[in-house]
Amino acid sequence: MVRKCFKHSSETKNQMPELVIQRLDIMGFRGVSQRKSLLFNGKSVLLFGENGTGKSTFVDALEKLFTGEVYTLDHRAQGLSSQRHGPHIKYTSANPEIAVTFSDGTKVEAGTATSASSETVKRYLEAARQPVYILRRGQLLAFIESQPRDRYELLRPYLALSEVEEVEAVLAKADEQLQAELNISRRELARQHDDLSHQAGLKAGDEVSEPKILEALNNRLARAGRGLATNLSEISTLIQEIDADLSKFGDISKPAAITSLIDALGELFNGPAAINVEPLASSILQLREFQARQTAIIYERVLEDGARWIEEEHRKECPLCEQEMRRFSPEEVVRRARTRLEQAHELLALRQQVQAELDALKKVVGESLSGVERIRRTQLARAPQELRQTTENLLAGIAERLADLVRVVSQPVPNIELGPLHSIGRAFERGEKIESDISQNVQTLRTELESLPSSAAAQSLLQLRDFLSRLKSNWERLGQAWAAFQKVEHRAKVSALAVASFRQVRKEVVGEIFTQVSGDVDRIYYELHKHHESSPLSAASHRNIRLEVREAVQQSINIRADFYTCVDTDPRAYYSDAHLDTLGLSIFLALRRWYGKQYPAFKLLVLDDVISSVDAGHAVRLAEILLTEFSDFQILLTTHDRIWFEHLRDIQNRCGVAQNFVNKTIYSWTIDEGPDLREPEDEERRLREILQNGQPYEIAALSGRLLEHILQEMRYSLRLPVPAKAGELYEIGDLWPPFYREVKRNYSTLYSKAQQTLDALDVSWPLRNWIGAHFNRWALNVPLSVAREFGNAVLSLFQFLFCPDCRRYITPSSTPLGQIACKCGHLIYAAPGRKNQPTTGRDEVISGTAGALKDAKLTSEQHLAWKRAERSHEN
Amino acid sequence: MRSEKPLEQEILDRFFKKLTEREDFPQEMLAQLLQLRREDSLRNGQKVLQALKRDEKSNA
Repeated sequence: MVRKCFKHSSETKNQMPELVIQRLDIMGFRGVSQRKSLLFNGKSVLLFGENGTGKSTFVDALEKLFTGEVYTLDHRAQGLSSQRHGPHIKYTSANPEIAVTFSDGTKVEAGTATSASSETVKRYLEAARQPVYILRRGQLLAFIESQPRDRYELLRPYLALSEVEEVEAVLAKADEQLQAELNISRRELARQHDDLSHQAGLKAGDEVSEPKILEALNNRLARAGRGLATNLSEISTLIQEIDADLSKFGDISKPAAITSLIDALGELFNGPAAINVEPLASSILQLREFQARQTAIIYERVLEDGARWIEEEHRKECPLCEQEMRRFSPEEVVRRARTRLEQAHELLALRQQVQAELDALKKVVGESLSGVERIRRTQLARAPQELRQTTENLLAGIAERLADLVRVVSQPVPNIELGPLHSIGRAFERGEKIESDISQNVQTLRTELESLPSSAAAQSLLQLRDFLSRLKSNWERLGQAWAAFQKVEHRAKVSALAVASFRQVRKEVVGEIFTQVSGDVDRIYYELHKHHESSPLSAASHRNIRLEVREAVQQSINIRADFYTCVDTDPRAYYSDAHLDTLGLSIFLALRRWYGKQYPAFKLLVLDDVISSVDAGHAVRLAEILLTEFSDFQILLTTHDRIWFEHLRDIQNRCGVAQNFVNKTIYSWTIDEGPDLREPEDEERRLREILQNGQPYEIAALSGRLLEHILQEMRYSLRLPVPAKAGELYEIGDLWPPFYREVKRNYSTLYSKAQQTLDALDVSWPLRNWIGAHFNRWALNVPLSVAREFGNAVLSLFQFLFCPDCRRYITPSSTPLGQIACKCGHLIYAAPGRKNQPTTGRDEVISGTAGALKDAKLTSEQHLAWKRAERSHEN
Repeated sequence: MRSEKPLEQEILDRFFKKLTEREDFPQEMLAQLLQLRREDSLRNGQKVLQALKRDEKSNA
């Protein structure tokens, strides 16, 4: 007896992840206008549909919801975006509706902030933010054909390095700032260096050192006839000695204060003297005379438009009163209008000139007032007490005159009085009162200054003191700058070390990751092509495929491989297009596995019609890899290849993952209705509705569709022997006879219960073709009752075969039960002579067989071997 | 607090091991960076900069 189950791999698991998608709801997005739902029911989905039936819409919707983008729109070409081109072209709202409901009941909707309370959902959504779990046909070759640097960018999201890169960026930015601080510190040190060198009078190129500075200091001290210093710290003592000598000269601050006040008054003299009101007064006068001449109001626009109308339209009458122009000819009227317009423009120019002169005068007066205030605040406060009052009186007088002038010129132009303007302005003219008062005051100050005792010796001492003071200050600042520089330099060095260490570690680890991922790529690629290989992986013809981090270039990836005798080569040189496709797929799957290690709770894999150029053998291998190595993933797999779809359904059973899959078909697509993704319950409900008030042909069409759907499911469930047909497009006529025969022959309990329905359908199923699928004039007279009878029989069969609780069709149990039942056991048809046996879950079977079936999986070879063995056994 | 992902953990472990092995890396600064790692603050630019200036404060 050949065992039906084989051990395949101890690593494979068929446990679905903790959090899975229950359903995806879409409305108004891409190819879906009306609301459509893809029911995952917590399982993986295998979705078949011909090209252009909306499969990718479900993939795009998941990507848009989780990442905010759709790769094929947002990263394809300029001008394309999911924001603009995502909504269905007939959908009126700008915001399509996309929502995912998870197994814990959390609903995540596009465009609304997710307030996921569960940590698991948060982690899931965080991991799903990078679209590294989605692969489309168009992206397959990108892994292979990209340039090494672009390839790194392409692969980077899979490494889940974002947090690490953030840390690296923060360290690099901190380092940048510290290097910038080091540069500033270096420049400051150089500046202090130059200042000290200049102060000490060193020659260009001389070293700035304590001995050199001391030498310069002693030269200066020697010239002043003073004792020499032995080190620079003695400068403070030298200053104290000079201060003591200077004190013998009395108050030496008085001459400085008087000199400063004289200088300030001299500068002020240039201010008020610059005040000249004459240009303004003259312009105002001119304006007023002009306005007096223009007694009449000038209607500028009327003149302009009137003259133009008369000229352009050759009018003989006035455009305002429509009377004939008698006093002047039209030409004369136009000429006079133009003259008056010119006068109006002259008036405007004059007004602008007056305003400009007024603004200039106000500015000068304002500056003069500020100057007076500055002298009062600073120089006057330091001036000797006995001289302050006179100067204060002078400044008060000037300020008063300036305030008067401000009052006059602050009036609107028509109200400015020319008399006061002239009178005040005259006081500021050269040789007039203000200048005379200032000169008198300055003279008084000079007389006082000359009367003070002055000594060349004091001046000399003052200069020496100033030199020493500056030298001391420069020397101290240089010392501080040097100390600061050393600290900043040390910090910058340490920070550069930290950044370099981080980068080196990151590069090492990334290199190791790629080595690890390369191992997976090599193995997956070998698994896909194993049926062509007679050698083990280490000696395979296509082997040692690896992703290499280029040492010389940062963030750059090469793909290398061995090909027969050619070692370490670019696979593009020798691989066929189909092999390059499968290589791209292998890289993606290996990277997806790696990403899964970083986010263990996120196990979603979406493959959108990735099989196109590979043959059936490779496709089946791929199916096996997906269903075994990714059996703990929730997979959305779309395909337009009917044969591959059928293979996958078959392999699901053999790999022991059938219970994890929902297989769906998109039957058709229209722009208004979207994909026809019929669910059994929906079909049943619609048939019940149409049975109430539909026409015979409508009832026949819907009944036929549901019957076809039932038979498609039964074909897999009961493994019906159906003659092969191109494209696997089986119809009722192909499926009904084997189904009816099989039930009648091998499932007698079901047959006895459903006999009436089955026999009725065996007669009536062609009705669908006669009136439901094709137009036949002779079939138009089929009575409604006949159509309803057919419809009711289909509904009855549906109820016998489909369980609404577990949403599964019945399927035969393995021996020894021999019964046929749904998954939850609510529908059971016992084997002949036996009682109903409740269905058993996988875990119960494993425990019941003491773990013997724990890893029961069949590979294609094992399956074929088993089939061969069974056949020989039967023979 | 957020827990480190395996790769992040691996890289940070090796990074700190490397710094610890370097005798010329100031211990005070290293302690600060390790503290930031414990607080999950290594991505906070301000705090990292302060940590890298730590030697100045301790010397001051």
